[in-house]
Amino acid sequence: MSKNRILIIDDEKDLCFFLKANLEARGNYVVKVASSGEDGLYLAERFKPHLIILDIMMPVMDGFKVLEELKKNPKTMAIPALMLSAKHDDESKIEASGLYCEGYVTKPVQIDDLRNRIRKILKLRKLK
Amino acid sequence: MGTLDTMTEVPLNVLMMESSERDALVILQELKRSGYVSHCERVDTIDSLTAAIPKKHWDVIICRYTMPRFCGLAAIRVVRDVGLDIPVVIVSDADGEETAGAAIKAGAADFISIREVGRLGAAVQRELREVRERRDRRRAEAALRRTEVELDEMQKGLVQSEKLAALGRFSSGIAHELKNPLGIVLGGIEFLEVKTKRGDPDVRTAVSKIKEAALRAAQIVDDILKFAKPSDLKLDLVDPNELVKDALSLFQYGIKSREIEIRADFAKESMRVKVDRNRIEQVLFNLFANAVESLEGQGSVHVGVMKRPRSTAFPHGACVIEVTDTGVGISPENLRRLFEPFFTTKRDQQGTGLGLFIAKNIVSHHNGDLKIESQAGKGTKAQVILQLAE
Repeated sequence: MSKNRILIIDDEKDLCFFLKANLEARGNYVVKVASSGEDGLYLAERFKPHLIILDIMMPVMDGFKVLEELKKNPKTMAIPALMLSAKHDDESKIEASGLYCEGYVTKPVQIDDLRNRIRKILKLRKLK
Repeated sequence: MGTLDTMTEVPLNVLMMESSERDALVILQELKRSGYVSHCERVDTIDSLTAAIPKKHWDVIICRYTMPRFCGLAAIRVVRDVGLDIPVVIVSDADGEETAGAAIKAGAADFISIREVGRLGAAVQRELREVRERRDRRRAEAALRRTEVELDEMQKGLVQSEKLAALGRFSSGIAHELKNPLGIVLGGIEFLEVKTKRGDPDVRTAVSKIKEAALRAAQIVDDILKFAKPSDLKLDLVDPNELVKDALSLFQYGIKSREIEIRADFAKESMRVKVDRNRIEQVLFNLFANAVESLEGQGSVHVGVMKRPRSTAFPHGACVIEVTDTGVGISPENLRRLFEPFFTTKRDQQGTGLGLFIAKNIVSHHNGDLKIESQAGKGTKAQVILQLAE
């Protein structure tokens, strides 16, 4: 069975390092990391991930802006996005859902919880 | 003239210390001439004076300066010791200035020589007015003091809620800043879990303990973020009876022990409070959980919803939600520290010590109050007081 591709867009490089390692070690995933919004948009087109894990608070281009751009681009609009953020307030969650993100998890997240969320989103995507 | 302004008859309770029947009559006649209908009791010893004073509300004590068994100054002392504001008018055979001075100095309202008894009516009228004025002033002062205390409490409350709001913003900032490093710590531990899967058991135990600590830190960060900020409140008009019923049924659903009885009494009056339902439910859950835990498996919890009349702090009236338990209670030392952040007696049961601190903040942000009284060994009473909606 081919592995699902996951793209993580987060400026916290160490966090990304462990997320990638843990997802690859415990799940059937190939993970790539982008440490800025711009890199993320570039990789989203080239790497064609099955799912994007997206941070909100990033310098220059924040996660909401990245999400907006992803959903505007016909090449990336169908890729489900899971927001992973330190922001816990309802406003951020509402804003994210308004931009059609598929899920919202707050940091710090346990890898098993994250895997469950990813699995559910991908399963739903397949059913569609 | 020694007469009242109007000649309508005014009732007057007179306690008279006079050994001479004749002089007593002269005094009463003079009072009558001045428009008073006197209800008089005559005494002639200190003991009988002391016994007579509490019998009724005396308007005036008229006292002979010197009598066979005591002097008028002693009567003044007795009245002063009792602490009642009853004017004592001294009547004397003599009219020496020195004697009058001594009497006034001792606290007599007036000193009248029997020869100028015609002055008595005016003196009594003046004294009654002054007593009235003093009484009104005392009442006004007491009311002022009460208002000052209430204002002081309100001001303290405002300062406190400002402080809490600032503390809330500060803590929220810290908590956010901690989330990313915590994410790295947790990610790192989970990475090590995989790498040490077949490694040294001691290392695996250490990794698992570090993970527990990291999750606990994450829980504390989450709790800090629950810190209610006023801007975060989603206010709705809610019936407090319904609010408590809902919170209680949800809570009871989760209680394991069927031994524990939770009784509830609801307010008969209809009430509305403007609150963030989820936050207040969070507060009630916390209080219910504390009450049930304090029972240590046996006893009862009572929940009451009551209406409280208007006050300066709650100008539209208040709703009191009371959670009382018959549990182990809280020692005075712990009671003082109950609302301190991170103060817990349940460290071994994963308590973060933020429950009541957050509960108090939530209630404060609703301009309400959370009070807890307790007696070690007897039980605890927690009260959530919420402003009624206009």
